[in-house]
Amino acid sequence: MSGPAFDELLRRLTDADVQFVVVGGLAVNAWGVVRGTKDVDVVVAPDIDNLKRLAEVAVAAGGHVQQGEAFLGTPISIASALAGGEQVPIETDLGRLDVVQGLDGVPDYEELSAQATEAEVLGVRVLICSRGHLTAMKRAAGRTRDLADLEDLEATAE
Amino acid sequence: MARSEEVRVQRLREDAQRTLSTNLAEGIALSHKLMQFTGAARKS
Repeated sequence: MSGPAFDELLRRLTDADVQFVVVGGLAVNAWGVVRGTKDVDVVVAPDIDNLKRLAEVAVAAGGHVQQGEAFLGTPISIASALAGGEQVPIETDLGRLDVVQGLDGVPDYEELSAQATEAEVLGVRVLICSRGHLTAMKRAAGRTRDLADLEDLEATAE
Repeated sequence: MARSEEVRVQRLREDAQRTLSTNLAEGIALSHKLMQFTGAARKS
């Protein structure tokens, strides 16, 4: 891997017409809490064509999924894993792309996109989940990192 | 609230006034630097 390039990963997804909303650490950044994150978390539209487009972008970026002893490195195998509805972390040469789905407290793409706000990255527009959805997801996840983010997000809103 | 915490919260509030695009770009740049740093540390 030559080094992470989250912005380039987001640009490629957008250029390929993948329907997604940014959640997780990058959404925390966008809403004013700038801290490091180790992956790009997205919620995607679940139709199979969208999953195929995402899988093709991932594989073109050297992406693969490790599921137990299974190594998934083709668009069809990764799209199939995504269609299973579980969370799928994809390791790419541009950094890890974590497709968040099937988790309690995480709204689906339709709900998130309806309230999302656009931000620009490398000249393309990406959807960032709303502050309200972000804080609700952080509260639901409830890990130490999430609670720290929640405290900081609430401090910015006061 | 300790002085350092007051300053931190004040900075958070200032950052929250900037555009999402500005904050996102800064967060991505910070993440890249941290990952490169930790990657280099692992190799050494």
